[in-house]
Amino acid sequence: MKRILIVDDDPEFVENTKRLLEANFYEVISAGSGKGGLEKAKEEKPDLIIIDVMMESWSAGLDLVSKLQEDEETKHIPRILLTAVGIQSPLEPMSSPDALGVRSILQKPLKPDELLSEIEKVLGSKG
Amino acid sequence: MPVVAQVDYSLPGCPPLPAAVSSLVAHIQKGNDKALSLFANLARISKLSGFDLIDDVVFYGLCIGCGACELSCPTGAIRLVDAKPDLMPEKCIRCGTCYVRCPAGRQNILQRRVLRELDERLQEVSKSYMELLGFVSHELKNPLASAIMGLYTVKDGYLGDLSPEQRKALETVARSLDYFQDLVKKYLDLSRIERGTLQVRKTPLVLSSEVVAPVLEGLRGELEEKRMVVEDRISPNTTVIADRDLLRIVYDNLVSNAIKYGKEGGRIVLEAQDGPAEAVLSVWNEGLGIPKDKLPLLFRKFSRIETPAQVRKSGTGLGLFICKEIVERHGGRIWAESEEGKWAKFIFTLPKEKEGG
Repeated sequence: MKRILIVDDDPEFVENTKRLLEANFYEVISAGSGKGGLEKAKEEKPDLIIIDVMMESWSAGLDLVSKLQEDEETKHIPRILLTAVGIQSPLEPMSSPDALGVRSILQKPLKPDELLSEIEKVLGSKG
Repeated sequence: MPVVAQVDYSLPGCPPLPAAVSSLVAHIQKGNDKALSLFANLARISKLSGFDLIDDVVFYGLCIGCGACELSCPTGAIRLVDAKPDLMPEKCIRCGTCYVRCPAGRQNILQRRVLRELDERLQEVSKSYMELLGFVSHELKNPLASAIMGLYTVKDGYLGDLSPEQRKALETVARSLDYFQDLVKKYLDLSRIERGTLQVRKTPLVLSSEVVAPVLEGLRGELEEKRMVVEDRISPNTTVIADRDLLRIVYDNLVSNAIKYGKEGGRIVLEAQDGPAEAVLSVWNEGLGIPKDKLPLLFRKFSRIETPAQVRKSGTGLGLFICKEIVERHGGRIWAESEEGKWAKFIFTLPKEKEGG
């Protein structure tokens, strides 16, 4: 069973997403901040990390991505970025997933189908 | 062309401002903020109905600086018709000889300055309102994201089968949430546009792959739901010079409208004609169309054309206004054509960048 770490400071979003992913046979762990996310990633070595951009700071998610990239233990784990920030945000000048060090960027709000198909794409299989 | 009311100025003095406006102006001068916001509302309403209150206050020829100057005209009654702000004269555009006279020695330059200051204050009020709107919309996104994820997880059967009644009940909630999401998205766009912080970053774009394809992908669910077919006649080589994200917003709005107001099972046709000076792009759909007299109204803010068959369609009335703003900021034009009962077509242009421009 593939394991997914969700890092998001909105507990309701985490709970709903977790329920969806578990119903689709993924194992889900979560953290509510960038800092917590880094610890969980090192501890649990998930197969995929889903990260919200804005948490304790507007760029906490991006900071987490760069820390994960720098760390030997975690740099190989694929990452999906979630953002509620739309066009012309501070993100925009470097908004390609490659430049940000993630596999894809998804806009919040999003529907279960979109999230699941992206996860399957990244993991190369269903849960 | 703004319609300016015909005003008769008779000797010896000009008529006063309509009582309500002049009393408002007096209150504003005393620093009454309530009066200012009322004036702001009036100005907005008057703009919607096609003329500009701020210009018209100048137009009335009453000095709000001293409140005592008069407009006099040796030829008797003056009719200033179709005056533009630039022409707003010390000299009458009809007889060319009358002047605004001010016993206090101040000229209407003063009025203009005061009005400009007033206008600037209004713009500030509007800007901070738009900032607030943007902030609130953004804050709404997170709870909305959670609600949508939770609801659709149940509705789409991920947690088990639903009875038809349960599904129907959740579908109504889903429609409300989708509408809510659309509203939040449009208010965010609107607030960026009106705050003046929207930047148009033009780059050469392959229209089909970089703009249209991702938009259609995002609307696949809606298209399938109405069993509509998109006939994409845009050549894969067509390039335009535009801001990618903004152009996607335009296509997203136009194609969404084509789906929403189009005929179930009908066609949507996308075309792009590449000319030497500009590209002409269009979105056509089969459907009820739009009455001729309503066509020019479509692009106004909060405009919603409701013919009986469309009364139940939910819309924010902002999409086409946002399209117009974006297209015009690219130096282009946008308009609509329709044959009622058959089809509607939205057309816009994007100019070719001049050398070194």
